[in-house]
Amino acid sequence: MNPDERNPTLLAKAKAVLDRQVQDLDPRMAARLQAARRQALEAGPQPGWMPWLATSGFATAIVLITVLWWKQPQPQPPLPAMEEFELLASAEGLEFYDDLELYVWLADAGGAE
Amino acid sequence: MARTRDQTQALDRFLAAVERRAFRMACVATRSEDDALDLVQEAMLKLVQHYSDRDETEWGPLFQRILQSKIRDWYRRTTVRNRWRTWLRWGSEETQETDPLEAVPDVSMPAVDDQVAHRRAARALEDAVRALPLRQQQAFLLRVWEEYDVAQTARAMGCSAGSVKTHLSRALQTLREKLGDHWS
Repeated sequence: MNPDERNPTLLAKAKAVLDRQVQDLDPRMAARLQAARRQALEAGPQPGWMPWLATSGFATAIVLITVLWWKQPQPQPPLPAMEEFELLASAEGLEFYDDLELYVWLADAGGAE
Repeated sequence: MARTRDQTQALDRFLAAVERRAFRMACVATRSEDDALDLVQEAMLKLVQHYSDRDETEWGPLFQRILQSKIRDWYRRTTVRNRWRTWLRWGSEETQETDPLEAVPDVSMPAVDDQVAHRRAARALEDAVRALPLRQQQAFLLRVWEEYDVAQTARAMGCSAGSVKTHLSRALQTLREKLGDHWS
């Protein structure tokens, strides 16, 4: 339904009041509006490359963030203990290492005497 | 592409014709002359920078579309800001609103009674329209004041024709209730 058919007086009066507010606009504000218009007209059309600049800047930022995140040091599995490495590299028999505690104890005991 | 002198003059005429109404519309939504002026200037700038090469008949709907979109963005930003202020409890001192109409000096000297009656009517209308939700405000001002049809209003508001009808119907119902017998 057309609003004019429902509230003719309300709408006509509202329109009249709003129109009069425009007519009675403060001259100081009218001057500021005029200045804003002049400024907008002087700005001229936006160069065609401006949107591309903004888009490429955004894309660069995304790539940079992704690369930096990717290059962050990832948690590494714990390195094998040096003792375990020596054990694997050694030519000694495994029985020697089984008895290692005994040899250490014997060496300590000999030194103490 | 640079504008021709004729194009610039046509744009100047167009903007001069719509700027005051656009300003009043933004004032109703923002309740701030400075914010309203900023929004109108941004809308002018966007029209000039992006759509000055369009046919002159398209400028009106385009300008309204830009302006309404700017008002909506302003409203969202302000809503979020106010929510934070309320939450932080340091916005209470700043919520005092000033009525822009009170700042309007009397440049002409119409009969005092007429002036008082107009002010009273304007104040009542502005208070009632300001109290409406933003979408209802926009639908009311575009349909009733700008006299846009439903399709033009829907394009300017970025919504469906059905939504425009719903918003306008609710706005009119509220205004009729608030403004009472003097207005209907």
